[in-house]
Amino acid sequence: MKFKSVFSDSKTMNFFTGAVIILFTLNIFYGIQLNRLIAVSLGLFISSAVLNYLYERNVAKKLRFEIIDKETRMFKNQNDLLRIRISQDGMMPILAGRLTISAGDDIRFQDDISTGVRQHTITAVTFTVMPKSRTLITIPFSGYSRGVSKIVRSELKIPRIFGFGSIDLEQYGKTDHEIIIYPDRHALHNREMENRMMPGGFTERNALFSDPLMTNGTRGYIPEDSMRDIHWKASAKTGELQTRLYDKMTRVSWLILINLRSENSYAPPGNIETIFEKVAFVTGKAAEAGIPYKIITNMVMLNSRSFFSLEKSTGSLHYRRTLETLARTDTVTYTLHFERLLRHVQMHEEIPTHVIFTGVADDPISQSLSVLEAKGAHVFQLDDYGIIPFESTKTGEARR
Amino acid sequence: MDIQEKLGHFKDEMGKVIIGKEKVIELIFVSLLQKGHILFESVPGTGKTMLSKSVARAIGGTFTRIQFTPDILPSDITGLNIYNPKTQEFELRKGPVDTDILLADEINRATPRTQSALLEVMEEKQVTIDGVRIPVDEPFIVLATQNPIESRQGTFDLPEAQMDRFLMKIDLGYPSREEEKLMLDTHGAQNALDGVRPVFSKDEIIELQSRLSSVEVNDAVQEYALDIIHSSRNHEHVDTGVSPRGTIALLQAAKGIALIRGRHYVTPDDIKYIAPFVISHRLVLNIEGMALTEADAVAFDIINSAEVPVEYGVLRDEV
Repeated sequence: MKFKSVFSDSKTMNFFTGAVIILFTLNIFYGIQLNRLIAVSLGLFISSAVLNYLYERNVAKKLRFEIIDKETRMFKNQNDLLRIRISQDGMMPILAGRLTISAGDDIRFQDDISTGVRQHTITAVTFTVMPKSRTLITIPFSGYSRGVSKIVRSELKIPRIFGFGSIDLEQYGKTDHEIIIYPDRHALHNREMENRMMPGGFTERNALFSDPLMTNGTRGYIPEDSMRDIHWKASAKTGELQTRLYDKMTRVSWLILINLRSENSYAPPGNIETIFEKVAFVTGKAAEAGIPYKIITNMVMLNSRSFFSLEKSTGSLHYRRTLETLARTDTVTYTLHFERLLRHVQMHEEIPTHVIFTGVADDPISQSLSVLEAKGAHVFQLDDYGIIPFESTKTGEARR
Repeated sequence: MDIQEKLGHFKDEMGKVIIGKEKVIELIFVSLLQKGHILFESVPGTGKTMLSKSVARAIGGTFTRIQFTPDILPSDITGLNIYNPKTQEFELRKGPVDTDILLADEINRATPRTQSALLEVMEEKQVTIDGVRIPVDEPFIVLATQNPIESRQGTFDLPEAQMDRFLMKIDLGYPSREEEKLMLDTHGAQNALDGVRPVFSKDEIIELQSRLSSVEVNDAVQEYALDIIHSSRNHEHVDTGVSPRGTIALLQAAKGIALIRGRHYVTPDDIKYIAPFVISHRLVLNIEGMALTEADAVAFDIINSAEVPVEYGVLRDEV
C-alpha cells in the first residue's frame, strides 16, 4: 500500500507562526524590546515549528504498509484476519496513528463503520510505531457474499507530535491483495450424479485410444503387432501366437455450461446464486471422483472477446480454480445469448461424455442441445430440483 | 567409514550435474540410508530426471528407467511369463523392477491401475507373477518424478497407497538467480552425467543403513513426533491423515538427519526439519481443504501447532 500526503496544516500552528514572524519583524525594524520570558517562549515555539515542519516532511517518507497475505480464500460466513505490517524505517515515531480502510462489500469488517456508505465496508485501527521498528495490525473480517473483495481506499492520520492537528495521507495506486469469497456448496440430493454421471458406465464415442487393461478378445498374430500385445496364455492354448484386442479407452468428462441470462432479459436469473452454489457442489463431487471438467459461461471477456471459461482439468488445484472462477463471475456484465454459447461449443469444443447446463431451455436452446446429444454427449440440466436428464425431444411447454 | 565424509563425496559427485540443491542432496542421502523411495515433484525443466540419473550413478549398482505413458501395462513394469513355442513352456521375462535403482519417470502419466503395479515391489521388495513370488535385489529404491502443472490432461493422481510408500516427496523448485547464472556458465561444456562416479558400493550402503539403529530417540521426542502425526488425523482440512507407516518413516528420516549431523540422538529440530517432506504427500485433504489450501500448507500448520519439547533429559553419550 502506498500513500501520498494530503497536507492539512494546523490552523492554530499557522496562526502562531504568523504572530512570531510579525514580532520578529517588529523587533528587527522598529527595535521593540522583548522581555526575556517572551523571547525564550518564542525561541521554543520556533524550535517547535521547525521540528513540526521536519516531522511533517519526513514522517511518511520511509513508512511502509504491507499486506502480509496477498490472497485470502474463504467461504461465506467464514472469519479471517487482514494482517498489515507497518514498518517505520525513518527516524520519526508515529504515536496513535489511525488507519482507515475501505473494501468491497463482499466481506464485512468486524468493526464496520460504513453507515450509509453503499458497496463498501469500512473500519479504522489505531497504531503506534517507533523509529526503525515495525508493528503488525490485524483486522478481523468475515465473508459476506460470493465475489472478490479488494481494498479500494485507505486513509492515514498521523497526529503531529510537535504541533496540533494531524497529517493526512491517502492511498494511491491499487493493492494487489484480494479476498476471494467462494460460493457455498448447495448439496444436491437426487441420484443422477451417483448413478449416471460417474466413471464406470460410459464409453467415449470419440476415444482415439484403446485401453490396454480392457482385453475383449484375441486374434491371430500378424508381424506388425507389438510383442507386448501378445496374449501368451491364449497362444499356449491354441499353439499359435495370439494378439490381444482391447476396448476403447473409457473416460468420463464433463462440460458445465452456465447461463447467466434469464429467459427473456439480459438480467441474470433470480436463482443465479443458488445455481453457483450447486455448481460448486457438483464440481466438488467431480474433483473427488477425479473427473475432468470444463466450465464455460456466456459472459464475454471484452479484452479477448471470448467466453469466460475454465479449461478442462482435474484435481484439487482445479477445484480451487473452479471456486475462484465462480467467485469472479460477474452477473451484471456483458453476456451473449446462451444459444451463441451452444453454437460455439458445437463448433469449437471437444464433446465430452456429459454436458450439464443451467437455466431454462427454450426451443432454440433445446435444438442446439440435441446436436450435442447426437454427437455422443449425455445432456443434463441443473435446475432447482438438482441434476435431471434433459430430453431434447420434448417441446418447451412439455418440459416446463 | 565416516558418514559425513561419504555425504561430502556424494555432494561433490552430485554437484557435477546439479548446481545448488545442497539441501535436496542431503534429503536424498537420508532416504538412501533407509532404502526409502523418493518422489520428486516439480515443474518441467527443473532437473528432476537429471537429478535421479545422477543419484543412480552416484550410488553405483544397476539402474533402469521406465518412462510412464498412459498405455503402459503392469506387465511392462513387473515382468511376465512368455510362452516359448519351441519348448512349449512358459519362461519368465523379468521387468525393469529387477534392479537396484528404478527411475519411474513421469509416474503420473500412467493409469492408477498401472501405477499400482509398483505397490508390492515398493513395500515388500518382491513381485508376484502368475502366483509366483520373485524377490528383487537389495537395495531396491524407486526414484519417481511427477509434474504438478495445471495442464493435467493425460495425467492421473497417484493412489494414496502409492503415495504412502514414498518416504519423502521433494519439490526441487526453481534455482536461485546465482545458481541459474552458474548453470548457464557451465551448461554444455561437457556431458556432466558421464563425469559422475559411484560413491558407494552396495555393501557400503547396507553398512550405512545399519547405523540408523544406533541412533536413539528420547521419549519426549517420540511424543513430539506422535503429536504431529495425530494432529494430522484431526486437522479440520484433512480427510485422511498420516498412516502408521508414515509415523515410522518420520522417526527413521529424523534418525537419518541426526546421523548426517554427527549425532547419535534425535532432537525435536530434526523432526521439525524433516516432517514437511515426510508428511505432506501423505495428507488427503477434504473438500473444504481442497478449496482453501494445499497439503504443504496444512503440513506446516500441523507441524507449527505441535508443542515442541524443551527438556530432553541427559543422553548417555553426552555424559
